[in-house]
Amino acid sequence: MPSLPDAIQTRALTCRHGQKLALDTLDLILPVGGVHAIVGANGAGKSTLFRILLGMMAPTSGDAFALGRDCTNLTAGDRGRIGFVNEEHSLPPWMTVTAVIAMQRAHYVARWDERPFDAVLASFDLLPGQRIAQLSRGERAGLNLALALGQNPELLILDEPTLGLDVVAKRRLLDALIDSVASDGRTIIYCSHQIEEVERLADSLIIMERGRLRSQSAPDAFCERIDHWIADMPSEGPALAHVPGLLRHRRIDTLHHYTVIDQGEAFAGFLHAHGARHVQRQDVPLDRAVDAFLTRHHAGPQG
Amino acid sequence: MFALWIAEIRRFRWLALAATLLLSGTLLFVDRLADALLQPLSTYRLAAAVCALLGLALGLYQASSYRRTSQWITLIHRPIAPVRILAALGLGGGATLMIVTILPVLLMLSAHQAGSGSAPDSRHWLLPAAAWLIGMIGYLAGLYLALAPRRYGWLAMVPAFLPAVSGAAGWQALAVQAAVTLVLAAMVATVFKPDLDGPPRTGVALAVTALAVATGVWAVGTIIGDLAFQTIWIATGTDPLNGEAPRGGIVEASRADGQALIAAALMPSKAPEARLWREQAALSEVYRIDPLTTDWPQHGALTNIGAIRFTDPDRHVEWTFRHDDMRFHGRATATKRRGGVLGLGDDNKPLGQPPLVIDDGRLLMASGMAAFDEASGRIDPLLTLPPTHVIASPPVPIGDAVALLTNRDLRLYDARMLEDGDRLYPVQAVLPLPGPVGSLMRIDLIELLDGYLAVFTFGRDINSPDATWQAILRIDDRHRVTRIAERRLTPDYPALSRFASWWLSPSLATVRDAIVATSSDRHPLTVRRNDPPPGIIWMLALTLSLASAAATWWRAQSWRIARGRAAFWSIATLLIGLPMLVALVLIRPAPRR
Repeated sequence: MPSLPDAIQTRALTCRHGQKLALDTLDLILPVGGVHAIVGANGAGKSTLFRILLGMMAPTSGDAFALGRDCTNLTAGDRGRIGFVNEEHSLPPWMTVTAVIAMQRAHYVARWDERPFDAVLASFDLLPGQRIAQLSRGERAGLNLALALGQNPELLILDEPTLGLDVVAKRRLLDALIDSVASDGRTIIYCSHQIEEVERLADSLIIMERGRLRSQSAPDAFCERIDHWIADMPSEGPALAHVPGLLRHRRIDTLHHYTVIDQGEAFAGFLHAHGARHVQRQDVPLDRAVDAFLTRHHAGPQG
Repeated sequence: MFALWIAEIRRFRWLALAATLLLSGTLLFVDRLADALLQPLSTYRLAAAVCALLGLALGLYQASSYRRTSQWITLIHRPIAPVRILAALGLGGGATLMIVTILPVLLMLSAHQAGSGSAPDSRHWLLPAAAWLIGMIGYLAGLYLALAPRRYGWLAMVPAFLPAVSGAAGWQALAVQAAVTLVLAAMVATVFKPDLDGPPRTGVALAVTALAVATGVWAVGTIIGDLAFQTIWIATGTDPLNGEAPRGGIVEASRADGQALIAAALMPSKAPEARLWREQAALSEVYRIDPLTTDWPQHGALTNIGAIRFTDPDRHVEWTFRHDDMRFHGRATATKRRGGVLGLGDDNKPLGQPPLVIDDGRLLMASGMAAFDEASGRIDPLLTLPPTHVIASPPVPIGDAVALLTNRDLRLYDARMLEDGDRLYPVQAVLPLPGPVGSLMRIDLIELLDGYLAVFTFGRDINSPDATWQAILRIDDRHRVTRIAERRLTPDYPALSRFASWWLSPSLATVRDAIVATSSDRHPLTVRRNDPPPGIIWMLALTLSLASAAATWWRAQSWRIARGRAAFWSIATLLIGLPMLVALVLIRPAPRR
């Protein structure tokens, strides 16, 4: 067990599904407090990581700790400290709203916090007698998030909670979440493909790819690492394999567009050295930065 | 936990109500057509199958609704121990089944108690509990099948079939059902864990699962292997049962008529009269006696083996046997008014054992016979066997005599015994059985001028280790018994097939045989004799066990299982054989590379 409990710690965490390596010696430390956004393409290993953190799956090798507890041996008390909201908002469809709320209250009686629960639920127009099966996806998501916040967890894992929601429901959900983040010491792990949500919520950004940790920093810091350069070069330009930190390249006539990482102003000199008559540097918004980072092995076609 | 339990009860309440109404209506309707309490064993088995299937459907449905990963996380990820969540679900399902299974039976029994149909015995009031327990066995099996990894879950459900083959009756049957329910509940607890696809977590859970899966592999392997073997034999036209039977074999004996069988049995005889007997057999009527294949009714049994009612046509009374006082109770055929109690003899004594009504008014019991006398309206005892003797076949008339097969001997009486009893016509001759009655296929008997000649053919199950032979006995006019000859019948199936369950796992086969042997006191008609496994089968079993143990060790090493555990698995495989190796491969997760 780690000496100073972090919200999450994994050591060389590896998990195989048959021949596929879902997590590949993942070393990850997420400190207590704040919102940590985890992004990655499909198959990056995010859901596998969450299942292991919740004790629902045993890793092939390596260790995983949540709130300092070994995830393969979580007790009922440990599970009470960890909340989880999944993309399907899978509440029992046969139960009424009232019954679900009563059951959750009864199970989390020692931790239950009415204030965030009421605050979130107020944004959704739910009738007590409605069955879960009769709720819209957005209403179900709202109820699920309200229940998760009512449990007052120390660690809250949200696995694509806004997937499939319309704009209104999504905004309500995010507003509710932002309001609740103020809670002292709570750690939220937020997994989403919607980068604008990440930008709005996250204190730190974790990028996973093929089961490995590729980047961990504040979103702004990540954006600062990525630059978009436009170079006017009549020639073919440098061979792409020799472009340092290249994430993405596009050419439109004599204009070459380079998205690069960790190059700074020195990249202008590189471009001039390869025949650029004029170069221009642009900042990259977070969504394009993440997109370029995740698709860096798919540099665009020439010409 | 209470909240979850209530939620599950509420979830199934309408389904339970609908099923209860449907079952109650069906049962009461069927009961009006044919008195449910007087039905034979097959009908009770059908009802038990309905209860088990209802439970199975409920268990599969309930657990499947939580089986998807997202649903499973929602269910299990809460500050309650998994076993308490399981208890809430199980108690919810159990309560639902309680209503669905118990209520219809109670309604039916209450109707009988109120005067509709035959009056219920004390034993019948155990039926609701049996219905619920059988439903629970199906329900827990359903939970296990839905939650356990698919590659071995169904194989581990061997204990669920125990009540169907235990042969227990009355409260003992309930005890077996309750024990199986507890075992299955414990097995469900081993798979009701956050990591559904992983192996059982504790050593005890792993050992219990491995043993159950190995037993399942053994049972299914034996059955499927036998089916495959038979199919290939039949397809190639060489199966002894579907072509020309090999000479001197058990199949030939099972097909032969009495004359041929007696002539064959006399072949090895060196008796001077042998030729004469062969000629006499060809000309005589051969009387055949087939042993019973069912058990006798037991006092307090929940079900009936056969008929327990007869009618007195003169007095227009139906007499139905009741276990409570071991007497028959009357009911007027016209008015349906209940009244009158009929016991044994003048002083209306209770019958010693529950009877089977074989003809209208003739009562066959495990160790005696009685008959209803229409003239006197009385049940008179006809026959009482010595202690430890159990009737193995209804009496068979043989000319002026009557033969009665018991678990120990073949007894010959004057035919008038069937009318006037064995006090006036005591046993004339006793031929001790030359082998166990459970192995006896048939008896063929002819009358001689000075006695009888009886051929006992053993080998009831032709593709099993059952010993197969014939013994011929003569009884002379002074009722002396002489053993004339014995003839070995060749088993027509190869040892590989006959001893398949043995070489696949000698220890499991031995345990099974030991369990059967310990129940022989309760089931004397099942006692049989097996051939010892031949040397080649011993060698095969030993080689297979050693090879399986070595393979287990290698497999465990390649999966980087701790040496102590690997040794444990290997020793278990050495003891149990190939099925344990298969269990290891099925239970352990896929190899890590």
